[in-house]
Amino acid sequence: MSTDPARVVVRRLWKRYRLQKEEGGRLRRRKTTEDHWALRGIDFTLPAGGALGVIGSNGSGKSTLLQILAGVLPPTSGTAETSGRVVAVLNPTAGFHPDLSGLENIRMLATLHGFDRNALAEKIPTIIEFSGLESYIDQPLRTYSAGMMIRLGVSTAMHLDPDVLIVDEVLSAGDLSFQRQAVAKARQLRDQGTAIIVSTHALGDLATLCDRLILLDRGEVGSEGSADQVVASYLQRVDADGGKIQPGAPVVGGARPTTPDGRLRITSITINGQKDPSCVETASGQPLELEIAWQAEEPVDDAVFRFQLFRNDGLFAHGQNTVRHGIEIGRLEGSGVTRLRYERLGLLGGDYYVAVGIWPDEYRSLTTGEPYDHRPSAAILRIGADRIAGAGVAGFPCEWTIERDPSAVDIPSAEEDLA
Amino acid sequence: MQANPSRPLKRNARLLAHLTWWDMVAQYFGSWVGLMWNVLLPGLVIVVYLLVFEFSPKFAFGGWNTVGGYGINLVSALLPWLMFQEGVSRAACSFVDQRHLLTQIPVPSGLFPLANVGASVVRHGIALIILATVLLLSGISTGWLWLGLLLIFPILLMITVGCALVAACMTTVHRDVAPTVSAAMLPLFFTTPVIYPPHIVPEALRVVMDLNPLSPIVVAYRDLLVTGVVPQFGGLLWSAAVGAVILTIGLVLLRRIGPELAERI
Repeated sequence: MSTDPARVVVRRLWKRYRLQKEEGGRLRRRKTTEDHWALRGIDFTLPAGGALGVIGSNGSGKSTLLQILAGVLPPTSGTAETSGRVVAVLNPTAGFHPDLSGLENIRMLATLHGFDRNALAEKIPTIIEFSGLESYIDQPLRTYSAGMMIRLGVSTAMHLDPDVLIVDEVLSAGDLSFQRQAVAKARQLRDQGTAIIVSTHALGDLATLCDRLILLDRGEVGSEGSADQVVASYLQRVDADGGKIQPGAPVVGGARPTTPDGRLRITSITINGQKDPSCVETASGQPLELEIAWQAEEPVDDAVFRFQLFRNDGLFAHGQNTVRHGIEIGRLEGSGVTRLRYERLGLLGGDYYVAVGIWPDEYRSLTTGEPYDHRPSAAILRIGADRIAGAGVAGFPCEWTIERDPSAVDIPSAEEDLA
Repeated sequence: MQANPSRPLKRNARLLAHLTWWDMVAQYFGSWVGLMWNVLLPGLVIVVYLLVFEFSPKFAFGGWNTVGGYGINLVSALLPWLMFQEGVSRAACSFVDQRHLLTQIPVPSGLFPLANVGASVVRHGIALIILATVLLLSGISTGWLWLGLLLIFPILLMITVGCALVAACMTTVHRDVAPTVSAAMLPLFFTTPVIYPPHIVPEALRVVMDLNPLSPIVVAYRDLLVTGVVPQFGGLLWSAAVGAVILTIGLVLLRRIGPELAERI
């Protein structure tokens, strides 16, 4: 790859934004400016057929870098040179005009990228087919959903014969089947010599597409290297500061609004010995103990105790209740404590909302919003990252073994080697 | 980045033509009449003004030896004014309205306000054809003097493009500029002798009308299309000079603001 001509050369790239602050009322305004350096000396080169992933937390300078590469922002100092046709998808609307139809918008985007009528006529059917929007293509863009706009924008960009293709975030917002289709097409373009630069949070896709990643940290290259190394360092960083649920933050998904009945109340919740914690830190593979202290205002028959874990992106990771274990609770009077114990927590690193509820029966806990009492985010369970435990949601004890047979090595002959 | 870097002018002219077309299409996209609104609306303006003023005996245009009635005299001067007003008002918002595109593709940014002006030029052309038809039907002909428009129109275009660029650029610096431009149109309209002939303006106020670079242009349109006299050159020279200054300011602003547009909008 190193012998290929460089498609993108970035040298000592700095970018300053002047943030204007206004003080005082509508009259007598004083304007002060404050400098914000979004990029601080970025250096890299990308050859034809190379794929570079840019990752980093919000505000790390990813979008600024891509906008400069796309040619819509000037650098403050340093250079960012690209060669050939640069096609960028920088925002979900992809520069489309809301009042023009999908088809007209494809034409407009392609014309702005320098395609003439004839070249375009060949492209359009392919673009429409790739986007899967055949039946909507004559509708004005304002009737499109965000996902449809991304489909159209990415499909158009990928079929304009880019020498440099720049995709900012948007890919991860499309649906899964389109994401896969787009990543496959991106790989094909890369193999044909297109230099690709993507920034995304969908680390799984990135890892398969990009041969190199850079991690931006407050405008500087935090780490650079193979996908594996950089992703590991990114996750470590996420673990170290950002990306955590703050106590009191709203639950992302999985919780319906509920109106507690009031006859049976949860008085306190204890997790791993901590009473009413806002955040419990633990690790994959450790035991977990839950205590629900309750108080019955009047006698209640046949309650169901339920415990759930939702990951911070809303994924329902685990649920358990007393009916599953065939426990018949009978009548509850006065007060008491219900305990649940896990020998080994099989969830992998991440932040999880702990939801605890007492419901009249299992069916109603699924279909209605009328529990006896319910705490949708009773606490946050922060499970530390552990590379050995695996990737994804769940980890299980496991062991690798490799069996070798050195005698079966097929040594090629000298003639074959020369041929 | 450019398909044909050796001929950027040709490429930009092609892009301008496309953007003007899309500007006209997008404005009425999805409506039943669609693009035809670009013909119907100027036609309607002309017909309504003619019906109201031409056939109403109370209005006589300045009561002096005019050719044609009030309606014809009004419409002939209204058309250049409308081109100016429409082009500048719409261009004022063009950078802000095209923010998604300008933060996405490196297109020469000046093309967007120019496309707004382009659309108003096309509508102006359509309106002139309709007016010419009406004039022919009512037996008013100034003969070869019509061709004088070929000299007047470039001055009007220069002023319109200049003001459009200034308004578009300044709106990115301060958002109050676009509504200010709209608000300024009405007083400017009344200092332009569109609805009245210049000679009825009192001496004290005449300087206001004379300073307005659009005044000599609308009078020249009326002279060439209806009255049939050769326009006065003095005023037109003033218009051309002011137009050149505004256009220069517009181009300087565009050069300064253009590269930073994506972070200003």
